[in-house]
Amino acid sequence: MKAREMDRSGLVLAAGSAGLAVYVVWEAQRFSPLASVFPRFIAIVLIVAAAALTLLIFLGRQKPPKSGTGSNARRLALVVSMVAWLALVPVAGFLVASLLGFAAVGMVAKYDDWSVRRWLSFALATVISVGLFCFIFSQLLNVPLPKGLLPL
Amino acid sequence: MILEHLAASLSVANLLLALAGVTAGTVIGALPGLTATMAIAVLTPLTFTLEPSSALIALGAIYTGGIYGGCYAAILINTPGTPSSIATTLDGFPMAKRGDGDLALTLAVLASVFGGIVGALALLFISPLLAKVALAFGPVEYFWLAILGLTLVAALSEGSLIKGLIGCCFGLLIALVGTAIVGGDTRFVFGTTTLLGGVDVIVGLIGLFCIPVLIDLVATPEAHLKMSSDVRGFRLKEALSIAWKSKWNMLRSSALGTIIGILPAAGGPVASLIAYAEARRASKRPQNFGKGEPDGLIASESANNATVGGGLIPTLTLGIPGTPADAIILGALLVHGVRIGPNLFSNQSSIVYTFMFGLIIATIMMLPVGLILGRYFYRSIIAIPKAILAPGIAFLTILGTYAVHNNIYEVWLMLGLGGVGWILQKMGVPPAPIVLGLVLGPIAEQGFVQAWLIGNATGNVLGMFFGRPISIAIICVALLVLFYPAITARFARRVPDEGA
Repeated sequence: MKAREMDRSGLVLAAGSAGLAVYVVWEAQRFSPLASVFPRFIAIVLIVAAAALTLLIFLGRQKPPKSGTGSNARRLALVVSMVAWLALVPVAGFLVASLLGFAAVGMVAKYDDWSVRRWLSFALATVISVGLFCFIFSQLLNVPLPKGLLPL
Repeated sequence: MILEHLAASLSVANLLLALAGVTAGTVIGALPGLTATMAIAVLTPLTFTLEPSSALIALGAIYTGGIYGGCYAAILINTPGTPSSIATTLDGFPMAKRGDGDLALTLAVLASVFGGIVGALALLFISPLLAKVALAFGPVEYFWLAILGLTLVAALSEGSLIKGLIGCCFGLLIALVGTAIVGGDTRFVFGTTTLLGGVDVIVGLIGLFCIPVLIDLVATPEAHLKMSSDVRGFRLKEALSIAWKSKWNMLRSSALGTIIGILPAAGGPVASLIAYAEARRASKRPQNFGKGEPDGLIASESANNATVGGGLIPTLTLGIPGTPADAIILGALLVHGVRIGPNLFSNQSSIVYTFMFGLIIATIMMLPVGLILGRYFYRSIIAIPKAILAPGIAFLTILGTYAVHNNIYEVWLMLGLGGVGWILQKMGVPPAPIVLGLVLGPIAEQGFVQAWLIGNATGNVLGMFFGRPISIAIICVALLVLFYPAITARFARRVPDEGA
């Protein structure tokens, strides 16, 4: 008979929750009594829940979550693209950063080979989507989009 | 007399304004980050040149459309377009994932129209009576209302109640970041000034719901949503049949939405969550909730649109706006020379009643507008290749989050929360309980601390928390929500799982 798999990620979650709860209790010491009641209460609930989760895992009553499928490299590439996108905004401005970011995320999500026509369609879709929404937000909704340092 | 106002509201100009308002509100509400409040705020100046009643009809139409529009993103990309549609994601997205996105959108518009009409009828006929309910709610009632909402964690935990509880605690802790509501202490800001204002609910919503979907969207070549190949059209007949079977759920959720809408600061998110909890409690298939159960979607959508009429009740009768959107409408009323208060219904009845009928007409217009736009959005999401869809969603999350306070740091925060949300999801903690804590945390804390202070001052803390009739009623409902499924499981045979 196959032994039941232990929920290791649950143990990490329980340890992290307990650590967070201890930090909250420690931090709450410098709050006024009124402002510290709720944080302390939540921290206590979190510690109790973490202990209960640990116990359930060791008793074998906690199933591990389903492991995800798909490419972790693409997941990482998406996160890196979005971080770079945001980092670029103060420098290149929202419009330029978004054009580059949109294209980068599009490349991360691209799976099949593209013809020249498909590439042109993608470029057109990028420019139209980004341009249209930037226009709507900045001109119609009066949202001041960052202009960046570039002399545009 | 009343018929004269109805006729006035049916003028061609008013009908066109209602149509344009509903359409604009729906489109804006559909974009993550843009709320009904923002739609009204942006479009209010356009109404200053109109007749007062026409201007109010346009604003009411934008409001009701904005609240409804939030369901598109909730159903199609698992991101609540507005905070009011948090509970819509829970069953709407699973329905879309299994190929019933078109049915979910049609059900959402039917429920929204029904809820909107119930709220508007309450506004029309029993405003003064219901306004008294708002005045009867003190801090302790708000506290218990938030606790009632938090009991929903049991329904949102997707397999592990303990992990759901941990997620809820994370949400409550995120809600504590910034300046304390009572006392003014700065908490968990890590020495920065950017966190002083706290974590906005919309920022949390977009990060926790949308970024994990995006991260998993790019990881596989499979289509984002399935599409039922054998069914064409709006699936209106099928949706009407489901809605008819769910009539009591729809009526109960609409009544809850109207009453919660009356309470200042509660609004659509709380109404939809509590209606969802109540629908699950009353359902014969509670185990299907969170897996694409139409009753959950219907409860959420009818409740959040009922808050539109409900929220306008204290706004018009007492001058107390229930939500930020109501506050903007109140401002617009004052600009148009309408004097708010108990005499409003006698002194300026023509404007007020025309507006109320206009709101009902705008809500009815939401049906064709919602069906057509919903179908268009659904087809677009299905047809757009992943290489455009993924960057499109990423772009809208960034733009929508930035637009909340025009603050790029909030976009970083959204991205960070999204990353943490994805990791927690892989550990078995779904995003919904975290958001539940984030939404209800401030209401619970403020209510608790204020009630505790009043109780101390009067020397009766226990009586303050457990001795007031409305509090007792809410506590009973909370206990019922928590324990009813266990009790009925003992005494009754559940109906077997039915495909939704």
